[in-house]
Amino acid sequence: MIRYITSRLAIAAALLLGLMTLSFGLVSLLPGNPAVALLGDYATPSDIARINSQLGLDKPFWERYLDYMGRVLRGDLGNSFFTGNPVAQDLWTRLPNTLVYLVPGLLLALVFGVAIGTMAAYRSGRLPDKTFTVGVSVLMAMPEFVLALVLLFIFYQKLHIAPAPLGMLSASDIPPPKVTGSLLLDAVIGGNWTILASVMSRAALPVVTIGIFFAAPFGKTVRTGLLQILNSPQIEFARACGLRPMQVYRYALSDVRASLMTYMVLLFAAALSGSAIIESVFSWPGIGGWSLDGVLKGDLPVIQGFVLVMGAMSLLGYVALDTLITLLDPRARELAIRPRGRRRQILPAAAGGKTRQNDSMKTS
Amino acid sequence: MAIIEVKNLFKTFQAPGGRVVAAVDNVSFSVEVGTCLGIIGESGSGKSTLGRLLLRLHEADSGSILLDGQDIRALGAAALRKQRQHWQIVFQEPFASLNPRLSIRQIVEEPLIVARTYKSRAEKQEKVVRTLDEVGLSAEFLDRRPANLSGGQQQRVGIARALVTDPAIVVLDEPTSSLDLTIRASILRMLSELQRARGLTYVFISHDIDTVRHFCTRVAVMHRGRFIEVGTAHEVLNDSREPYTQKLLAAAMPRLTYVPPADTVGPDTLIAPKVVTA
Repeated sequence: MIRYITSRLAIAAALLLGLMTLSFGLVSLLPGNPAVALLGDYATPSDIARINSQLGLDKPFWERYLDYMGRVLRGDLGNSFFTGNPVAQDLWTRLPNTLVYLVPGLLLALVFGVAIGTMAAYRSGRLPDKTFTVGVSVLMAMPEFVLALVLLFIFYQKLHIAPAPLGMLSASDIPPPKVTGSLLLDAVIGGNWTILASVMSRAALPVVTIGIFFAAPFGKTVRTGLLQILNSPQIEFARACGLRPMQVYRYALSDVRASLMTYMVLLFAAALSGSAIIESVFSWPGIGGWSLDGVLKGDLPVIQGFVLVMGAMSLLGYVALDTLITLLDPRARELAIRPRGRRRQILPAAAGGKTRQNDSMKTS
Repeated sequence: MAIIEVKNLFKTFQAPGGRVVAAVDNVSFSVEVGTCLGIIGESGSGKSTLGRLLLRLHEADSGSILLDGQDIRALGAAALRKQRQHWQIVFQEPFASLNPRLSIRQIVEEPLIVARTYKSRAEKQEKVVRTLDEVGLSAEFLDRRPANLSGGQQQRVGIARALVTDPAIVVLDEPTSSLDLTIRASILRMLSELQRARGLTYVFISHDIDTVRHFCTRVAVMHRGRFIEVGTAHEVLNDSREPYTQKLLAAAMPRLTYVPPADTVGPDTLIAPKVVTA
């Protein structure tokens, strides 16, 4: 098992190197000159040349590439062209702000999705199922920010129970003393629970937005998977031998578990890269708005840093996912742990499990 | 003594488009202890639905089902679960009916755990091993998983878990249809031996007329949810006057007429049946 995980990590590391190269290459190919963006349209050629040499943009491609790779491997992601802040530090202070609403939001989506998907599957063809189908279609057709605005309209404008969408803290909140630079971590370290509570109350609407928005794909997966398994002889037998309904449900759900976990990681990656939208609506000082800003201004180190960190997190997510699925599914486990020579004979069954999982990914 | 008594059983399904389909339409029959009732019919005739109604895996619309003198349609959910150890079912597709995540040991002991008929873990373990042995699987299968077994072995596991709680009644829903010919014969022979040794009562659902002919004491012919006729295997399959039965028998391709050697009638004759094409 440990060998399996290390091999996965090694693959992830190799992929990450590839990703760094790719992001560097693609960003260099981007049209537009950062020096022009920095100085404005009326800059003189000599000014542009000066800025270019300051930023190191006048060096040949390979030199810049090797320089970049070397710096990144030492943990230096460069400085923003515009603010001059180290990118690594910006990421470090902003990433927790994004995760603080993203992770609870996805967990809420999972719980909510499993609940409504289960209800739809157990009452298939009847009113709850039909309501579910309509609701999911509407949710899937609706852009995330529309949902966010609708929720804001209801809970802030009409009911006055949500705080204004003006960031993580209100003007009256006193930020905790700086230790790590990240507001949330500082609040936790300093034991400043009122600040934390204030942040959480402001995070509620983003959490609910993500919870509802991403519940649709979860619910759909659960409904499709459960419908299939609930009508299978396997579940029929479980009922026939007198298992309690809860246990029968647990068996049925374990069949959907792998595709749910796959979705969780996929949606995590999707939500991270889509965080710019939610953060714009709620003026949230997270990583999304920051990277959007960087992209619009052509701030190369910011874009590269963002791509790198998102890629690393997604890859880590996939390694964790593979490991979990392997641990939970005996078929995949046997495939992963058995010595090479004996793999062939058990391949068909395990391959069956894998394809099904891939199918469910495709249907997204 | 009749161990299964079914009276005026009805079950309808709502087909798409609002059409109501009678899957089981006023069916009544009884089965004597230790015998086997074969139910034959084409696909969609309602025979599998009938098998599931019998064990209350589906709810009937009306009618009564007495298993061992007990009206099972009147049982509450908990009492029903408790009684399930006395009646079990074997399905057509062995692989689909086994939980792929459990080991053979877990699969076979699960009905026992639900029934709680053992006093110690050792007793439970011994019961599992003994039942597996009865269906021809050695203890080395205990820690394997369904995916690592052949189709015939999977169906033996399916039978073992149905028998592990010592049921009186077993519904066999096309238990051999998905198996190849040689395995089919050995599974049927085993089922026949188990019936004799344990005094089991079988309801054998099949569309394979030859299998039913050898396996069942009595045979019912089902068509569009109704019983067309019920009688001994010989009456129904050799001397039927019913036009539908005759049509069904004629449709069995290739048309086989079995001539049993007078002295060897028994499950063993299935291995090499003498077949005369009419």
